[in-house]
Amino acid sequence: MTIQTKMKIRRSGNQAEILVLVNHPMESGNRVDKKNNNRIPAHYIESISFKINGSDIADASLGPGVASNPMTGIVLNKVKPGDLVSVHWSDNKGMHGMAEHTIT
Amino acid sequence: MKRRTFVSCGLFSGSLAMALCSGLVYPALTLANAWPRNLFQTKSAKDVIHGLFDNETAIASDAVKVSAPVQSDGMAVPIKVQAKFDGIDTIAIITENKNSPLASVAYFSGPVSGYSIRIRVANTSTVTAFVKANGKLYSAATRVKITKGGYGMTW
Repeated sequence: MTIQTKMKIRRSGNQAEILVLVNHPMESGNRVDKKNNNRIPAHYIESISFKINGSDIADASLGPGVASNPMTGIVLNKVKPGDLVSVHWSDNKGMHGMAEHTIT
Repeated sequence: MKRRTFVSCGLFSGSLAMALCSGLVYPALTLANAWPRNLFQTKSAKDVIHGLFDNETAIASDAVKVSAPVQSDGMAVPIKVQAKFDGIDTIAIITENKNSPLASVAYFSGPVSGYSIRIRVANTSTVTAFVKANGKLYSAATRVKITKGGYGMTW
């Protein structure tokens, strides 16, 4: 199973909104499979970290209460065109993914 | 190399992780704050706030803005928090009337002024954002009305 990570950056002036979309089920562990009455095991993203030009800017912890295919965003100040933004996420089953984008 | 760094490196796989572990030690990846399991499993919003910010009392502030659609589908409610402060440390999003009130918490170490995420909300309730900036705790709330979806199906 591959999980897609998409990133989009909207810049206006020296402020940029970074949006990250991960195609992730975000299974909370509370849902029951109606066919066999078993609980669907929890599978959710635990952390998303943002970096700009290799240095940390944000580290977000997510819980099972986040919607599936989570769209996470931060608003960054003091950016300039050419800055490289990278995002890395990891979930409770040890899967991880990343995306990179240059601010234009 | 510190033992913790080494151990957490072992958990990663793939060449990217190896590159990170061997030369440049990235503190955030390898020594990231452990996922706060107990906070996400706490059932009362009060205890979550206590666990995150100790005994600080939040000041309701106009400089913090929480926006959510007036009516929304409970399976994905987009919450957007914006704060007009310099030096924001933490933004936490907490939903009332939920089994696990803490939806997400983000720690910042750069010039950030907003955080947004889509959360699940069971039924119509108040979503509060806590922003810690310059050693002070601010909060703002918005009411989310759930008209479809959700898992409580009451409105």
